[in-house]
Formats: sequence, structure tokens, C-alpha cells
Amino acid sequence: MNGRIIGTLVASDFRNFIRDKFVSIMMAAGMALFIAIYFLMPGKVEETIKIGLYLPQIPHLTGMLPREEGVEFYQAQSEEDLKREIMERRILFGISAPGDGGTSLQSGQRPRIFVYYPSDVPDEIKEMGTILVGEMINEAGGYRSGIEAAEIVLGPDMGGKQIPHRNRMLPLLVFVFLISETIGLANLITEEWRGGTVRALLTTPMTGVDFFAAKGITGLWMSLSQIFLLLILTGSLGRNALLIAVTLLLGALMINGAAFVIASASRDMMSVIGWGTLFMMLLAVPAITVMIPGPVAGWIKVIPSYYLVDILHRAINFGISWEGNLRGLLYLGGLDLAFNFLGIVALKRKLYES
Amino acid sequence: MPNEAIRVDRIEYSYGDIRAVQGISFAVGEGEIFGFLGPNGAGKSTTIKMLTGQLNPQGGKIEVLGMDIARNREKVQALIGICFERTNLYERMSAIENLNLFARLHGVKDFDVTEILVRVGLEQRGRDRVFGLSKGMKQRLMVARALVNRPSVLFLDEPTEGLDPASADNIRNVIRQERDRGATVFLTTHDMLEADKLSDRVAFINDGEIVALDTPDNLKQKFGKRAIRAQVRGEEGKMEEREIEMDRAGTATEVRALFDRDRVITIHSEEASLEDIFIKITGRGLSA
Repeated sequence: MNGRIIGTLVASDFRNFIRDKFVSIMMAAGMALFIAIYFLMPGKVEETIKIGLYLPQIPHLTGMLPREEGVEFYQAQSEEDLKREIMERRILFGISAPGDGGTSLQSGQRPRIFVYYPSDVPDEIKEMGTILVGEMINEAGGYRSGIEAAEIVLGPDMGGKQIPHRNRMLPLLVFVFLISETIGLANLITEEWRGGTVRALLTTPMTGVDFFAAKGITGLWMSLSQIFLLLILTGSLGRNALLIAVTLLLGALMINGAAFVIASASRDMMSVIGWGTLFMMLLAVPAITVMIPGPVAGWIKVIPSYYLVDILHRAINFGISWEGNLRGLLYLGGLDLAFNFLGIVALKRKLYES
Repeated sequence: MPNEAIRVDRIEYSYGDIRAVQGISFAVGEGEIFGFLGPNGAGKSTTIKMLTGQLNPQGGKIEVLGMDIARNREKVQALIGICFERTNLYERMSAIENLNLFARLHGVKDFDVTEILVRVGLEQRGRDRVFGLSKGMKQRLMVARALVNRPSVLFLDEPTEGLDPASADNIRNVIRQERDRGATVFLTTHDMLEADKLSDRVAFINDGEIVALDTPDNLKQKFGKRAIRAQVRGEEGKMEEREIEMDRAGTATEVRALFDRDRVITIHSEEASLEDIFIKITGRGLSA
């Protein structure tokens, strides 16, 4: 390996990359857009549930409602006021007992209480409203259950410190940067192949190892410089900075290998975009599951980007350090070797046999 | 022959079932311009790729500057210059940046980019990006790039193909200057006039085999016929063509008779061209 040759080629790649107006404009615009999206997303999670009440005939029922942390009640002036607050999304749902609700209750008749929901309310909220009204009625009727429920949180209690949407989106943004630079690197190599410059390079004292090392460094520079800028601007590098840096380096190496594979299968920019999109669709799945949490199937661990996203999410959003991520880092290292081996073999075959 | 700069010993290469090069052997001396002629698909480009380390021969051996290229590829490539058939420059970089890049890759420290641009007549366009240059300028820049490391052996693959006369002439001058400097020039072309003008020796390759190898003069002598061609106005005033073969016992008498009998309008001596010889040997033309 020759440092002078590698440095010369990296500098030349840098120059060519910057002078490709399409790529550099897309890169700058992408950066600005992603940072804007991040800051436009809510910075904190609204954890207080607001419930509206309109109980003119039975005001004492208000005092019987369970007082929980994170639950606030809004006393509506009229039923119309209650409905308006719901429609304008200022309260989650509303409970109304108009007319003679109080008289009915006192006389032992079945009172009529209405629970108003917005049209897009999830089933869980509807269920919550029904339980709350049931509890109110039980309290009012003097029925008390002999069973007491206690809440026990397993793992870090995120109550009151939920991960904001923007932070959930960070692994996806990082991933989009990585994959877009994969396309950039694959396109750079494909252009060299199409333009024949790779033949000119490989007939100088440059070896194949020098060529791949230079392209690898160019790829790492392209992806990591932007990602670190994003993390610094969003203040996400504070905790576990070294772990995040190592993870990103390993992730970028894996993605470099993917770029070699894409370049080996591509003939022009369109085919690079085609193969790149296919890779992106598959590799983005773990990042999407972080953004939209829910039960994740075990097969997701088969997707090579899972470990990259998982370590970043745990390190940035949960503050989990080296100890909790060692296994993931080892997997990621193994994937680096596999992707780069595959990419170099495929690309070498193409470059030397064409 | 002076010391050998290139020695090729029974090299072979096949693309699947197609045998592109079939056990050819030849040697090129130091300071010699060696023309390698053949039609498209004859095996010229495959041979030049093997000689420059871009392809490994599937059989046989190649020595360049005394080194086996299969074992010393990078060492050999540091001492040779290659001008490819197809333009392969960095289009977004300027002419100067392209030349500096390859000088650095070769590790040339005292590289004078202006001097090399002057030699190929591009001193006024050095700062222009390559995509703005004409085809002839790009080709001259390709030749300049092949010279950045002052190569001991210069491989030129169809260097003047499709160029305007001025650009082609500039490249021919550079080739002669390189030979005068002591470099060996391996020139592949299917332009027989160019090969005739420049080459000390030429080899004809056809269907992957060398079918003739000698100096252009020797080949003409061996395979060609010398003749005198005249345009005359005959007895009835009609223009006619006469051809008298030279180097025969009765040639002088026939020439005298021509002047006595007819009114000679034009008269030329005629030599066989390399293309005539190639056709005679292979039955096909060089441009085929």
C-alpha cells in the first residue's frame, strides 16, 4: 500500500466529487433539509392527558375522578364548549352529563353520561374513556373494588422523559446520509469505469489495494463528515461520543462495501440509483422501526443495518454505553468484513476483466 | 538489433472460445519505433493490454525492460507510458490537473507541466477543463499524459485515429522526439501511411497471429512490385494508362517505347503500400 498514491487519488476524488454539480447540490440540499426536518419535529413528548368535563347537574362527580400524574381536567362551560375543545384537539376526549343526570343518579335511575371523542381517536383512548366513566359511576354509587393495582416499571423508567420524535428520527437521518453517500461512491466508481480512467490509473504504479483503499477513504469521508456535522448541530454527540463515532465508522465501512457491490453491478448512474434504492429500502427497515416503535419481529436482526441502528438508538437516546453494545459492535465488525470482501471481489472482477 | 526493450515469447489469450492472440513472438529494440498493424479485431488491443500489464497472458512470457511483467507489473508500469485508444481523461479536471495527477501517481518530483503542454501545443488551454477541449486536443493531452514519467517505453494505441491533420502531425512529431530521446515506441495502428512514415519496423497481425515482420522497405521489396505508371494520349487522341513493371530486363526498352510511341502526359514511379502488402499476405484490408 502506497500512502502517496492513495492520498493523491483521494484528493482527486474529492475534487471530482465537489465539481459534480448535481451531486454536490443534492448533498448540500439534503443536509439542509434533514437538519430542518429535525428541528421542525417536536422536541418533547406531550405526556399530559387533558380530559374535558361538562357535569352541571353533578359537579361533585368531578371530585371523585381519579387524580393521576399526567392527567388534567378541563371544566367546559357548555356542551358546545366541550365539543369545540375536542374538535380543536385541545383535549383528548370529553365527558358530559347534561340535563338531569344528577337527579337520575340520586333517584337510583340509570344516568345518561356521554363521552365525546374526535373522529380519529385510537381504540385504546376510547377504552380509557369508558373505564374512566365506569370508575366515576362506581365512585358515585359507592362501589369500591377490594383490589389495588400497583405500577412497576421494568428497565429504565421513561415516564416523564419520553424520547421525542426528532430523536427517534435521528438513526433514520444518519442512515439516509449513509445510503445517499453509498450511491455517491458507487456512482464515482461507475463513472471511472465508464470513462476508462480506472484503466489509466491501474497502468500507473498504483496497485488494486491502493485503488480500493483510496475509494474506501473517499467513501468514509463523504458519509462521516456530513453525519458528524448533523450530530453536532443537533447536539446528539454529547453522550457516548466515542461509542457513537466507532459505531458510525463501522457502519460507514459496511456501507462502503455495499457501494462496491452496487458499483460492480452498475453500468451508469441510473443503474446505480436503481440498485442503491433497492439496498436503501431493505437497509432502512430497522431505522423505520425505531421511528415508529411497535413490536419488532426477530427477523429484523437479519437485516445488516439492524446493529448499526440499534447501537446508535441505544447510545443516543438511552445513554447505553460500551458494555451494553459490545455484542452489536462485534456483529457490525463481522458485517464490515463480509461486505467489503464481497464488494472488492466483485468490483475487482469487473475492473480488471473489462 | 540493439538491446531489447520488449521481448514477447509465444503469448496467448482467448476470450472464451475466441482465440484473440495465438502464440505470437517478437522483440523490439531500445530506441526503435515498432508499428503493430492489423485490422480491427486482429488482436492488437489484446496484445497491448498484455504488454502493459492490463491482462495476464494465458500462455507464454513477456519481458519489458528486462523484467517479467507478470511478476513486476508495478515496476514495469512505473517505466512505461500508455496512450489509450479511447479518451479516458478526468473530464471535470483541467488539462494541468490531469497531468499533475498522473505525475504524482508516478512519483515524478521535477515535473514541468508547461514544458509538456508546449510539446503537444496545448499551452494556451492548460487551465481549461477537459470537457471543453476538442477531440484533437484531448488526444494530444492523452499523449502528454503518457509522457509525464519520461517513459523508457511508450505504448500508443491508435494515437491519431480520427484526428485533424494538424493534431495528427503534432502527435507524429512527439513520437519522433521520443525516439530521438532514446525511448522505445510501440505503435498500434491501422493507418498504413502513418506506420510507413514513422516505424523502423512493422509487424502485421491477423487473426491473432503475426503474418509478417520487417522494415517497411524490406516488406515492400519482398512482397510488393515496383512499377512506372503513365498517362498518355494515344494515336486517336484518347487518354490511356500504361503500367510498366520495373526490375525486369526489358523495362528500359519499354519505357523508351512509351515515349517514342505515345505523348506522355504524366509519369510516376509506383511502390507497393503496406496495405497492398497486407492484402497480398492475408487477403483482407487493414481497415476491415
